[in-house]
Amino acid sequence: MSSKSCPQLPDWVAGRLPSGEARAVAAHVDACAECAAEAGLLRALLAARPEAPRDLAPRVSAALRDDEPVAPRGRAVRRWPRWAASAAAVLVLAAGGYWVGIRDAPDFSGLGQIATEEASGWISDDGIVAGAPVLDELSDDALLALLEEMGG
Amino acid sequence: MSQARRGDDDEALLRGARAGDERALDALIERHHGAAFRVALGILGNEADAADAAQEGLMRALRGLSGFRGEASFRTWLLAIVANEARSVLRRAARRREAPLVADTPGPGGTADEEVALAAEAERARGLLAKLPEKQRLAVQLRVDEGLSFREVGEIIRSSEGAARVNYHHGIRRLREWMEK
Repeated sequence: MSSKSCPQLPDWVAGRLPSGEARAVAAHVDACAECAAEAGLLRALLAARPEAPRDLAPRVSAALRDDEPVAPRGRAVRRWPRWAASAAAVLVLAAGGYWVGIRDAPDFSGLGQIATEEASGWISDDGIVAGAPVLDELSDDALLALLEEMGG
Repeated sequence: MSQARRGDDDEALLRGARAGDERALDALIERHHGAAFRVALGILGNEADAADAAQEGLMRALRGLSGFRGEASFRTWLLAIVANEARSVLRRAARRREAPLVADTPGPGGTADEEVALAAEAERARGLLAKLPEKQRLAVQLRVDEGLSFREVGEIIRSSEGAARVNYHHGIRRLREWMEK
């Protein structure tokens, strides 16, 4: 008989069996030279089972703590802080207001009011600004281009 | 620890890790990093490369916990990701035409000393294990070292449960022949 007919042999050698099953396998191994020889090999393999370097778990843990979100295909995405997205949203609204102001009202005295009203009307109680989730999705390059465009 | 108990514990830790509990995440890493390293070592045969591949594989899996659907056990899913990572390291090395990564180990028919200590015998057995074809090597390793079922072994070595069983038995038979020389 060998492991083909004694499939629990590796678990017995490794001490992974409940005591009842372990006793049954032990009794079988005592009476079966083939399984006893195989158990000897399995014991030898387990005695030299390689252990991971001691710093592996801390390395993985530290790397995950410092981790930045990873896009599909493994490309790292740098997230802009929420305040930057909010500021960009306010700028977008202000620019929109400015454009509306130019188009509809040559009198620039109302510009500040339009921008302020638009912006305050879109900011919710929890500080999240309309448009921020969309801006969060923009790549660094696209967000930079948008900010430059508004700045210019 | 029994496989069922381990699976139950993993479930609780997974829930915690998904909810942002760093201690649960650390516990998952602590629990599985040894097996991850050995799987990578079984494929790469070199400790430094195996540690790097295990780290990459663990990070890839733990960053993507949402991708774990529970179709296999968490351990099997994680080790399959580590095995894929190790295989891709091996492929990249082959493309660069580097020297084989497999460590130089004593081959079959090496010194057979009847007085050899258990430690030396054990090292020899491990050296011979490294000489088996990959599927046989991993089947033996995953069954003996990690206590995985043949179904789980098959999921990691990309074969059926039956083929995993056959690979294991061929590997054990060959190792016994080599050890007796």
